[in-house]
Amino acid sequence: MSTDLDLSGEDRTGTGRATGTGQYVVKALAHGILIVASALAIIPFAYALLTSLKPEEKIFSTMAQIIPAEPTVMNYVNIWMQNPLDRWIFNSLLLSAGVVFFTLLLDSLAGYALAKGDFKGQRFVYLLVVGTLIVPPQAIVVPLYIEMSQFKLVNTYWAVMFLYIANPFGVFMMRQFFLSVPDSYLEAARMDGCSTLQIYTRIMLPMAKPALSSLAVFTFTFIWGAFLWPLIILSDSAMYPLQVGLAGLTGQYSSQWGQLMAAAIIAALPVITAYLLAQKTFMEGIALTGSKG
Amino acid sequence: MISPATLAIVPLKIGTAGLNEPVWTGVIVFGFVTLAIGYLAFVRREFGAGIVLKLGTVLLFLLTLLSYFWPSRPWPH
Amino acid sequence: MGKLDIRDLRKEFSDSDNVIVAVDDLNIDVKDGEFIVFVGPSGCGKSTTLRCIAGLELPTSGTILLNDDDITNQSATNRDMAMVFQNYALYPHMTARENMSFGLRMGTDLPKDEINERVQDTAEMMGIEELLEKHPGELSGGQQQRVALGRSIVREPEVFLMDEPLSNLDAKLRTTMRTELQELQQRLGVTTIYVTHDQTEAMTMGDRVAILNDGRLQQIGTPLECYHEPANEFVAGFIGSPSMNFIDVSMRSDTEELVHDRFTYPLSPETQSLIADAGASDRLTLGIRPEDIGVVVEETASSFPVTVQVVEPLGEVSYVYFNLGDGTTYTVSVDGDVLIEEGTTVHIEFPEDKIHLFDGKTGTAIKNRTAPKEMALDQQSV
Repeated sequence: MSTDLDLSGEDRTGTGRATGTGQYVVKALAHGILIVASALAIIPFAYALLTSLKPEEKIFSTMAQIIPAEPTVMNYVNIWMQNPLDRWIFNSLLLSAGVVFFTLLLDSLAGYALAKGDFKGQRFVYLLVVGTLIVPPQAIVVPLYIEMSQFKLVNTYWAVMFLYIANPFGVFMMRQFFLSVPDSYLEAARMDGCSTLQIYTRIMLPMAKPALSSLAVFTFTFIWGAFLWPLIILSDSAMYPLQVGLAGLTGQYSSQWGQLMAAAIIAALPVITAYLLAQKTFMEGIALTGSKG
Repeated sequence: MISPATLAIVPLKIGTAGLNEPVWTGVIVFGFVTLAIGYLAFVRREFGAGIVLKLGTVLLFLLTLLSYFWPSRPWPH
Repeated sequence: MGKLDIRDLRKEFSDSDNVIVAVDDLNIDVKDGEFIVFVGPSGCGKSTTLRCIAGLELPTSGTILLNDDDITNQSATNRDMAMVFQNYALYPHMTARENMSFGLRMGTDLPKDEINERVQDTAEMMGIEELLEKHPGELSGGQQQRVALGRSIVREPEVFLMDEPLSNLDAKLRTTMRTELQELQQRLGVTTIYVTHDQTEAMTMGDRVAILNDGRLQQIGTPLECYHEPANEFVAGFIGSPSMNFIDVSMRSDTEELVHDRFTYPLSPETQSLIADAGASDRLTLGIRPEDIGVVVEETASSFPVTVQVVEPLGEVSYVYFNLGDGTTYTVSVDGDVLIEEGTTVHIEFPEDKIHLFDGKTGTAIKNRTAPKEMALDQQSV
């Protein structure tokens, strides 16, 4: 029976490469555009990082000198000691953890039902979900505040989280992912003896790992940067997430640019970490879904 | 008949935390997410959990502890 | 034991306003250990039938019996059947081993080491032990196919259901797998229902072939029965490659001849009485397979001349195309040694023992060619 098992090499040759100088010009142009775009994204961040390492009193006198002569971490120490930065970071992490987890859970369930389910009003529900995407959040801030105050949830962590859990974009994204999964996986699982819930937990959810991880990063970045809603609903500065806390510093420390830059760098670190971690998972995901047919 | 306001007292109480009080929301949320992610990462094989999920579980557990022991955190504030 | 009876199976799909009948009053009895092939053009209802048997679709009416137990409304999980899908449907996040053991872990309460043992045994039988720790993404199409087969074998089901399992493979591998599958089925002796649109697969693999069209069963029988004794014009045209030539003729009652613009065809008394018994109208369809048409150089009493339009030499045989002035192109298959130039005139004849006659309206077979001798002997000895 083990006749032709060494077939793994089929159709695995590299794509043919066009030759000629025209190819190099196009490549150079593409790289040029990419370099400029990356520079535009990186320069402000790099400048903030370098500035945060300069002593407070020398920032304006050494504007032209980009690399600080004597780098110092005093700005980081000062802002940490003078503000409850640890608590704000903790708050941001708490809100992110809750929102990301429940968003993934609810969005994947809803997306699965909308993609693979067969029930009356499916299309209507889908349109309703997608329809909420066009409502600008700023427009409903006041009604939401009133709603939360009716539930006596003003100035609680719950109120901040409730607004972001199960966002329609995530539902849309998960639905698109599940639509791309062939029905035969569900049918194979049913033949293998899975209940509907088991199909979801054992087959669909693991298969959706790449989609889930990108949704997780997306949601995390979004919650980490959330500003308006926490600012409105929270009144106790002990419960502020980092962005709201930092915004408060802008007026207070308008002369202390070094500390502000340091705070901005601290705020950016988790998001960068999330992207780096997710990059690995994306790769894994691509390798996993490389099935034929 | 219990009014919504009465029902809301509990979440209101544990949904808020002063600067030097245990963060009960954190204990609940981090604790729950730790259990869920930990289950996926360590108990179930289907997920093929990588290092991110496993370290994430540990990190989330530490955050759960931190929520409860916030007033006695080891660094200055 | 895997005796499967399909009784009056009907499946309708309803759109918003119209009802589509996918399967219409289907009756098939599948014997234990039989390899039966459902074949037909796409949309003929063969896959729907299979999915009804699997329990993935609920039939609109009719019953499905497995070993005389009614399983029509049983869930797919409890039917003790295993299915091989066209795209294999191997779970991409599990290794081949996990894929194979998944059904046993979910569907049965076998102990772990017995599951492992069964997976190991099956893998050895299929020659895929070295692939067990790999993910489907790392396997080639043929290897995925083997793992998918192994996954259904390991379950030791009553019935195997296969939905075009070979159609994603390249032509060469398909031929190899065809034989392998057949051997495997004979060794295991498990009742197998195999759906395909490829008549070569149907002819070569099946113990019996069920030919479906428009949701209706056209004919069920051994491959050679379907080839030599098609029940109707559809089966005659579907089985065989290149397909049978159909020539519309009319019956002249006074001379008992078949008349076409280009030829008249005298009928023997036996054939005449067959036509009379069938009570067919005078519009008939004469069917003859390309390989049964005789090509003669010298004109004979029963031959008539045609002009060769195109010749397709395949080496072993050549296909010669001609027309009879009615807009249809007909095919003759001649021996590869015979060279025929395009544009020349040849004489062809239809031997009476090789022709088929179909009712011009209903397409039902009135007369089939006489079955080959060897086959008749075979049937007697069985």
